[in-house]
Amino acid sequence: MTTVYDGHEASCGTCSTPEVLLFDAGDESSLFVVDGSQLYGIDHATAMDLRARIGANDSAGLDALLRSLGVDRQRRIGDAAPDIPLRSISLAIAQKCNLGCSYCYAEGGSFGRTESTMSLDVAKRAVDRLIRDCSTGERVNIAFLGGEPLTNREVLIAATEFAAALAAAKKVQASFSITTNGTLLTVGDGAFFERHGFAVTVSLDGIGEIHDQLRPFKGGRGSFARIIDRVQPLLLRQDRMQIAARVTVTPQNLRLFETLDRLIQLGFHSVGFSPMLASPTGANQMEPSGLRDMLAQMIECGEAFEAHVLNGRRYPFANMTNALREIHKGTHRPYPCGAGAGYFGVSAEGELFACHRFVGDERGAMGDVTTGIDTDRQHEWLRQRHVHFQEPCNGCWARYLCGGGCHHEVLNRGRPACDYIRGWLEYCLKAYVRLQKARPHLFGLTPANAFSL
Amino acid sequence: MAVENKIHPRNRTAANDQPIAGNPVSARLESGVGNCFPGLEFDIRNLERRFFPFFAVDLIGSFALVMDVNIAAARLSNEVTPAQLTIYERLARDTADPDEPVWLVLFIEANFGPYGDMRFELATAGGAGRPADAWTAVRLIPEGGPIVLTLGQQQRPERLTLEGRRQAYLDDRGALRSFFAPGEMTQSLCSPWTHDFRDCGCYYWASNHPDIVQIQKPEDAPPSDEGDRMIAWQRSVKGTFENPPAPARPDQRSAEMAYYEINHRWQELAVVLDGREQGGAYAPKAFSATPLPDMATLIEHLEYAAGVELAVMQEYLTAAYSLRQNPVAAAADDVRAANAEIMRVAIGEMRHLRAVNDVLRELKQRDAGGPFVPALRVAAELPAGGTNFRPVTFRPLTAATLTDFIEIERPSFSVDGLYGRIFATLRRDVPGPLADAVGLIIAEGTEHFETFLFIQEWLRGHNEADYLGPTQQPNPGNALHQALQQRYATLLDTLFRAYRSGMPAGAALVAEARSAMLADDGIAGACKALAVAGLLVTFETPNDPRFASIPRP
Repeated sequence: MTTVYDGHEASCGTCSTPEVLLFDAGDESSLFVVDGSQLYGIDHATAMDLRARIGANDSAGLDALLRSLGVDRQRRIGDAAPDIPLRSISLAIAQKCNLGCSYCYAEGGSFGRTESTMSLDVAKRAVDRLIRDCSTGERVNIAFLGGEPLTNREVLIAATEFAAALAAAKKVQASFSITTNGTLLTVGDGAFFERHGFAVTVSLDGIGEIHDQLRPFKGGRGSFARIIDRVQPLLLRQDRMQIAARVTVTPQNLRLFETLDRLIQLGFHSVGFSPMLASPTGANQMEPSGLRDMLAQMIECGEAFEAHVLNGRRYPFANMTNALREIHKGTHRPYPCGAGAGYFGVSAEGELFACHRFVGDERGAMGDVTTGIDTDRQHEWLRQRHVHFQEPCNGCWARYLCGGGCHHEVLNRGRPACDYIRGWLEYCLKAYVRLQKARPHLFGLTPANAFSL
Repeated sequence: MAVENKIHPRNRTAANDQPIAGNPVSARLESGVGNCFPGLEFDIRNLERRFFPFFAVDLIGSFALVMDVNIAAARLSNEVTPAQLTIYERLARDTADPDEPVWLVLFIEANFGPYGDMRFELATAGGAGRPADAWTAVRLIPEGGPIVLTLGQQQRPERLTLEGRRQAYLDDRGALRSFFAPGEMTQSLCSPWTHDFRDCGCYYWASNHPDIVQIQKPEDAPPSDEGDRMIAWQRSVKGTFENPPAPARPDQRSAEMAYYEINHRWQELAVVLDGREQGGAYAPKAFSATPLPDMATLIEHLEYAAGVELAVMQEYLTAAYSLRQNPVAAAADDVRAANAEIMRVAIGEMRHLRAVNDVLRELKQRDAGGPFVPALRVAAELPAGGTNFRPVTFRPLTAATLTDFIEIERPSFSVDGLYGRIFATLRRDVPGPLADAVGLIIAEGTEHFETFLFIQEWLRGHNEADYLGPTQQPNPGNALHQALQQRYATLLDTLFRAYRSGMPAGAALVAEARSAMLADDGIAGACKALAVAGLLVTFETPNDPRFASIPRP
């Protein structure tokens, strides 16, 4: 006799509560438990049972079933703000830029202030503040941002060497990163980045004209050819350094797959996309219809990634590799990032802000490198920004993967991209299930080697 | 039929990456074998039941009994001739008839691998030049090979002949062919499982199970000779810490639950952690070796660890070549086994030497703490349990020597053993697989410890004179001894260059070093020549600062 649970017709699309997400991937139903980001494959009978209880709004029954399945229901994230030590800073070593991107949060690099550069003294004090309280073996990251950081190359080099020496003396492991527009890169910079194992991120918004429209020089001339000319010699010598391309997605450059594939072919170590959600003038912001397009194209890129990976080829689509890694690790957190927690942005004058985007913004001010972190402001920030106190996040199944969205974008524009984020995460969860079934050894046993291609 | 809920954790592995109390530090998630021990999920002999098309046989000793004929499939096959189908019809009828004697395979004409082509009469199994039994014979027939069977019934003259090809057991996707019936692969496994479980020793059943344990200790109870002694785990009388049952004996079956008893009481078998039965909540002892203070100290310890590997390798070679080339017959097997195992352990130490050097190289590269210099300086002293050390000494494999070998490989009960601290430091400070590499060394050390316990067991029953050969120290100027020293120094130099080059650049040099260790004109040949001359294999520290002896940190 056939039971009603046989076959696929019994299961249908995705459904969710604030505690679980139920979805089908391939021929398998999956259960994502929000607390702890736990992912389980389940049989059709269990899926039906869960669906019925979700449909009936029976949260007690749902919880009882989860417990009877042996799902870990221990609460992992409380309401209290965690105490996180400072482990990462960014230095806005040049609050000026030679490009004039229409959507820039730093408004031409100066953050709406007069153009300025960071002195070596401020950079050293910031580095010292970062490393001084670390114990042996701990890891810290120093990111150089701007504006365009390479307009202040002297301080970049001196601050890096100072940090490397201080870290070596303290037996702290320091890593370095830089985000650059790529127009000023030299072969000498490449050798320097290589020596210190920099993670270099080059902002590129497309291929050729598309990029040129979005990221012109201040005079209006396109910058793409110049950047490729500058970055190509560095791409060939990535050993300790890794060069990633980061694409800011606006309504003007929604040709993601072409961009991804071309940039990977050029030899970038990884390529990632990020939607422009809040620009100071509103120019080139993504609206809901654009985000729908973007999601479809992100999934197109993801499917290309899946096909490559199933054939054993590396395809460094960063959004995908990062999502798979975090899903595999079971990452769950009450914040979108470390801003104002373990990470601070340092302005050219040495003020501390919640992150690089808040430089010059009173809402994210948190002290300065001389007097240290203003812990009262920090605690208040962490208390307010906790995802449990965000609307509508506290009812969303994706809250511990997303963390509530970029603080800077949320405070400036709200949350226009929730459907996009959920759609992308749902796709990634499905891709994870498919890849894990087809190629289980892509995923390591430890968080450190969570994803190996 | 009740619908069972099934749930499969997909992303829980990395989230649970933490040392679990009670497991050795090297334990990984994949270390758990549970009931999936290869070979015990099913009885592989059942594959051969279907070696011939359209029927199944039971293979028992020299008999092959026709049990089940798939006549429907035979009728549909276009490879079965009408005459053959008549025979299949006959077998199907008779097999279904309880009054009819069973049909037996009397002869199999086929290729039997090493035994060649023959018409094998099953009744002659085990004879000279013949397979040992019916199953062995069938197993030897190559897949797809032609077979002619002659079948008969006991006490009856009629004979039937069938031709066919040895069936493939797997389909194109590697799954069992559909002609295997559900349950067929497991039908001969022990049932109920408790009988097998009771009879199997600690290392055998699907998952290791303890044989002897310490009884549950009440919290805060003081140590007690009686309460802490080893007792049978499967014992019938449970006892208490204050009033424990009799101590374990080599023959303790009478104290253990009998078959019928264990069927009903298996759930009383206690959970055992750290060798002791546990009752309520287990308060775990976390892995707590004290990490070394800094990178420089870590490197110092690793360099010394490399020296220890080199030194014990030397001692093991001395011991292995001290075994008689021609032991008395009664000891021959045990001596051969002991020799092979010591050599295997010595080779294992060389792999550890390489692993430690790999870790050092990686650390130097990451930490930029100066250039990597291969660690090939032999340790001046060896750890000897607790805080004790002893000098490196070259001795024949006497009982006392063996005891020292067991001690040096004994799993570090003080959690602050040499590799324990290195492991803790790497785990804390260095992301990536380096800690795992050291975890593997620790695990293999445990295996070496067990190997030496086995060797002790094998040699215990013999007089030393029956298995020990040369015990005489060579004169320093002895030509054979000098030849060994020279080859040893050359070997170290090759290894030094190999390790310094790293991989893959140093691969050819590593291969050269390996050959030099095993060749007649290398280390093995020099050691053998000394043994034949009645001299002990000993090593001198080369007069070269790269290989000077290294003090303990």
